[in-house]
Amino acid sequence: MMRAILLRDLRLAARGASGTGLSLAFMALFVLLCGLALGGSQPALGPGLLWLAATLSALLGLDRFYQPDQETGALAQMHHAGASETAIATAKCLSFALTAIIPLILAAPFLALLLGMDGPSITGTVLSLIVGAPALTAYASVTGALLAGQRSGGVLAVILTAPLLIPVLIFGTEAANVFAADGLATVQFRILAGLSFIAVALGLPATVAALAANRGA
Amino acid sequence: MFSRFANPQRFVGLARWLGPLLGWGALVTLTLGLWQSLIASPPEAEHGETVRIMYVHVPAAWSAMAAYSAIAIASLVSFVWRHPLADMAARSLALPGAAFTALALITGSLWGKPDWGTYWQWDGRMTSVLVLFFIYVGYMAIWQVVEDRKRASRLAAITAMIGWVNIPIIKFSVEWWNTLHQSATVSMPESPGLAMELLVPLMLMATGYTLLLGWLTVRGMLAEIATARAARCPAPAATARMEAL
Amino acid sequence: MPDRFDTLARPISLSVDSLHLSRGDRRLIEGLSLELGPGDALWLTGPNGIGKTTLLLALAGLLRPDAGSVDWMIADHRVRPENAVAYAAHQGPERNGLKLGEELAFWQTLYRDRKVLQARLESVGLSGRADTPVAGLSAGQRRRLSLARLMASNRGAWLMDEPLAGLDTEGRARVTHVLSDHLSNGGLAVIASHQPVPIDGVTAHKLVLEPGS
Repeated sequence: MMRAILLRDLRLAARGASGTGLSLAFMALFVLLCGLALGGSQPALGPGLLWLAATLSALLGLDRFYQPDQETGALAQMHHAGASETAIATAKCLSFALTAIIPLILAAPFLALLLGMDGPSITGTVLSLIVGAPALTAYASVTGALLAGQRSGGVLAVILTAPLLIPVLIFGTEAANVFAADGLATVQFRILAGLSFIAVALGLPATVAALAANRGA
Repeated sequence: MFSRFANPQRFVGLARWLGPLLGWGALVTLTLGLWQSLIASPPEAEHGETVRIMYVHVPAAWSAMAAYSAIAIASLVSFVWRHPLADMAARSLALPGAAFTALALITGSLWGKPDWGTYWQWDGRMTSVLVLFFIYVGYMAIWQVVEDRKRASRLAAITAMIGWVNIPIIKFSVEWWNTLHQSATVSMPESPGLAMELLVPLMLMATGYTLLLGWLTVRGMLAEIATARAARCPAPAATARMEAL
Repeated sequence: MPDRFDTLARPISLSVDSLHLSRGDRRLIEGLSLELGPGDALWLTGPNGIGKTTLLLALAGLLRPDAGSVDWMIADHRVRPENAVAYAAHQGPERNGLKLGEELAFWQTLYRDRKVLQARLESVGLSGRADTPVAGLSAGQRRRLSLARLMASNRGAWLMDEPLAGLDTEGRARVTHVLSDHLSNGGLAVIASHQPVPIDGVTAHKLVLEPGS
């Protein structure tokens, strides 16, 4: 059942419904603007800027998380067809991670070159993005579910999600910063992993509750 | 146990005497508190006259946090027991709570200038209060944008609870980050054991703010009950007639 | 949870007791009670905005009643609406970007329908259309897809919102045929429609919703 929902989403994404391309373009543009505004290469600020770029790009695509299926009534129909909200949320989160987050992480090393970052710094940033990805997905899912009934929730989505992502942003950037010197076994990476864990543990039930509320329960 | 208080009618009866009590209580306490803190109390040894800002600032920060905790608890009650008064209370607390948050930020910044030499200090406490302000904004926005009342109350409750669980995590993160980046700056003014002459105005202000918060909440809830009633009268429901074919 | 495949084999019934419904601040239905059993069809009719769709939503468990109850029973066991009911809303859940066949196959998977896709498409007159993009479907074709989804659901109770809207003569005949078949197999249907839905050989009731005074 989860598999069917995931496959349907991936199929839709492959046909352009997820806006992956636009998110990628936004991320690249953001890095370009940062470079221009800050005066060229910023190797020291690189991890932070890439984290910001990835977070904001992911949040901009958030209105495609649940909104289209809420609007057509597909979410309610899936529930009627026996799919639990937990299964729906899990499938949707997986598809969001695959179509909205992972492409951004894959693009990060190339954008890092624009900022003049060196190898270890790039590796650190990519690894920290991977460890933080579950948190990004989970909080995006909560906001997506809360705003599922809203056609234009763009700015509000950012306002609702950004405060929750502050810890992830802080520890993600710091984990990337210390990677070159200390590797993966740092407090920063551990806390980041912990934050991801907490985010999933909180985000999944909150998403389920929000989806149920939007279904009319 | 909650059903005893779930009846809006009973609440309206309670509010008839509780509202004025809170309102007048707030007025008296705040007048006393302001007189104590701005005029009667002596300037403090270390901070001089600027300590007077603290009497406005510190209780405002307390109230901001207390109001948010109250929203979170009311949201839990509303979410689990679908208690109508609880979500009215949560909703009514939001605007005063956000106002106290803003007051705490503004006075904190004004206090920071003479004390730290800067209007803004990226320290854990102040940054968390700013984040709290955005959490308030998000919470109020949910009430704004979701049209259906029942749905809005559930979604707002989820938002409030998620925010509440995250506040300590955010505070911890910002404090950790602060020690990393801002270690060279001035430390927060240490509470000097809080002498009696400081404590009296501080407690008066804190009590006054709490009463004010209570009064605004009761008024907000009464207004909500009134609008809910006004909206319920029009257009009688359909009549249903069964026919055999 | 009852076995979904046997839903039709066991008697299904609906009992609505003094139901009160509202949408936003508008009171729509107050104190509605009714009983339906296997083979029963209920035709809901009344002017726009009177609450037909709202009633269907409440029967489907997608709207919380202000008061009163909606009870679905399968073989005398109370079940949740989602286990008894398939709901064909006025607007279908189909997503642009999918093909007709992919869309229907998705719902077949969710409902664990054992019929092959082609057979389902054929029974609603859409055979050979599996590769048509959803975005290119006409209103009538969407209705047919919706009918196919109901059939694939294998649920005992069908809730249908304007099932005839946009359908041609052949399409209406299909609805009549499929619906009559469903009812004679012991199914149950509640149909909101402005026009009468002809059904063969079963007891049908008409529920008229009128503006209150």
